[in-house]
Amino acid sequence: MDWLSDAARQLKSRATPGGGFGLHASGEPDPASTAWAAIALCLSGDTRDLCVKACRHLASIQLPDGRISVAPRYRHSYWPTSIAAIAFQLIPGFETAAQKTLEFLLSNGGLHWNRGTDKTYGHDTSLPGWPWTAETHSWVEPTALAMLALRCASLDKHQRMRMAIAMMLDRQLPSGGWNYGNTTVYGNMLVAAPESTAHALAALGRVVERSRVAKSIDLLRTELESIRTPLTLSWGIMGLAAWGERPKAADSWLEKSFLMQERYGAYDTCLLAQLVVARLARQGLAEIGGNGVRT
Amino acid sequence: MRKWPRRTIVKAGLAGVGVGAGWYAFNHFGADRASVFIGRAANYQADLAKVIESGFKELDVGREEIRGRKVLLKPNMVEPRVGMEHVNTNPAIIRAAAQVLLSLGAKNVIVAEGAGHRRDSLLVLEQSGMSEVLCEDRIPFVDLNSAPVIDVENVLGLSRLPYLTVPAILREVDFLVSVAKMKTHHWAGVTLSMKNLFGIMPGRIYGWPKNVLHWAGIIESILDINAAVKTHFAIVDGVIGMEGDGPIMGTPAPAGVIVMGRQAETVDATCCRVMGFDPDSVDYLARAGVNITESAIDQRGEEIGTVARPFSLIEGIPAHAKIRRTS
Repeated sequence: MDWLSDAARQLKSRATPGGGFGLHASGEPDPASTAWAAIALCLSGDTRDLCVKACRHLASIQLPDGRISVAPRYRHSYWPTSIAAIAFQLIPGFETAAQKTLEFLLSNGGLHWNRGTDKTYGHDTSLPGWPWTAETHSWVEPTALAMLALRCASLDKHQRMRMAIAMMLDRQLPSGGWNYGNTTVYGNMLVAAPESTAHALAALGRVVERSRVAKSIDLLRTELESIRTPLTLSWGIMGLAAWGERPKAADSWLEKSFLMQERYGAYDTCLLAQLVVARLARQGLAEIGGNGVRT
Repeated sequence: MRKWPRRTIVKAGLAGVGVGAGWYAFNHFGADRASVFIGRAANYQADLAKVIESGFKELDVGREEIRGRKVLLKPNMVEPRVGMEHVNTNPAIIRAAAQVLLSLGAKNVIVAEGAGHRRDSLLVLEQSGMSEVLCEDRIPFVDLNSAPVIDVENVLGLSRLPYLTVPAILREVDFLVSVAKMKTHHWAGVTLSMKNLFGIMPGRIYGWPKNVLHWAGIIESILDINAAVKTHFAIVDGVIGMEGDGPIMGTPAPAGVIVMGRQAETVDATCCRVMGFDPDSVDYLARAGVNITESAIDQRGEEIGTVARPFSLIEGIPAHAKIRRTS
């Protein structure tokens, strides 16, 4: 069995009777895992029934305002909403649920303020993106996820997208790449993180001029040569794919990463699914197509 | 070519260690004992296990106490970078602590962390060098950012947090050791045993960075977390600490010490004195409700004066402005 089939098999085994997917093999349904599994299995093309059940589960836990939180008790931790929005748009029959997630994203965001003369932070704190959790600042990865959800709905020109693009470019480090979301603090330049850089490039692919992120693409390309951990590798490949690049060895790297479970133990469902998506979404996550949802 | 052990190192929970041991991690343990040990270690190639063993002996941590216990070592791995020994708890310290605790009869030792800035926990393990040590020594790792959680009461209630969401694994272990790094901190003044507990707060609830805690009040959050989740023991890696713009962008500060004790507050106060800071001027230590005056702490091992190594601070950082020891 090739690794991709094995990964799909492992993913399918994580499905719970109610349609959700656990973060781990025997876990309770987890929204982010469910959404990622649905996306991965949909792209792998042979398990429509599981994808529909997964989206039904996500729709069943969607709150009236459209958000999907990490668990009902933690409604403020709503970052899975963006991933669910992508899943809803990919799988026909969930247009209403998708629209609610998009409306939630468009009407919510991080805490922002005009920094005035305060030089504590190097970035423009007034530019809105999205946070991991309510009533906190916007950070690179949740903003990238929300941007990808909006892009799947062809909302590239929406005002929130324009502001998010501005925020992401403002947070880009001068030497290339992105930290989790700061540039300088007390005048010290922070260091790029490959997973954050990969998310940002995946979200910005083809919506800004390449020259504006060229150093970041170079940085990610270089870093990926030596990184085989599933989160950064998957997102790194998706980030480069968004710019029309795919390392020649990408497929073998993904296989190697999958096989590293022998060392690290079974990956969680999100990581497994992201490996599959990175293998199959050859043009990047923003290009995997939607079902025509508009808001 | 070296072979990795068959047993995998990353665990979703603590399967096989046993459940139902009670809520020991939430109880104060030996909180009335204020002895602190300082041991010398010139570098990470030194016999660190011997230093830690000496510390345990001096602090009366023996086989009777450790035998059969399920131990969780919580390092500081906030933002690893290859080759940067001053940012994170060195894996050699973890290896030594695990070795000594197992030799004292611990039922098992796990390492658990929820990296504060980086979401790729496996990359954090690899870039910090922790992965290699855990594989070689067959020590399981639990990613606290994604582990199952429980809610506990915010007993102190200083921050705006109505309750604290913490990893459920904390109720499955009965000896929690904060294995922190000796560093300055641009928001809190210093980051030592107490601040290290930010790393137990799960990222999927609090974010990367754990920005909820910043908005809720960093100092207040440190105190709330430490009141709800009490460490049983604290070890601070000051072999190579960080001075200047800690906890990430500072420079190496080779203090050459390992500081240990049962009470995080007094361990951290002693670390401050080693670093040339006044612990009473560090907000969270001043407000911790523990007597941290030098005379109240039973100092074991090296004397503070013989190992003191003033850490540099940054002018213009408010949290640094007042902590320099003047007498």
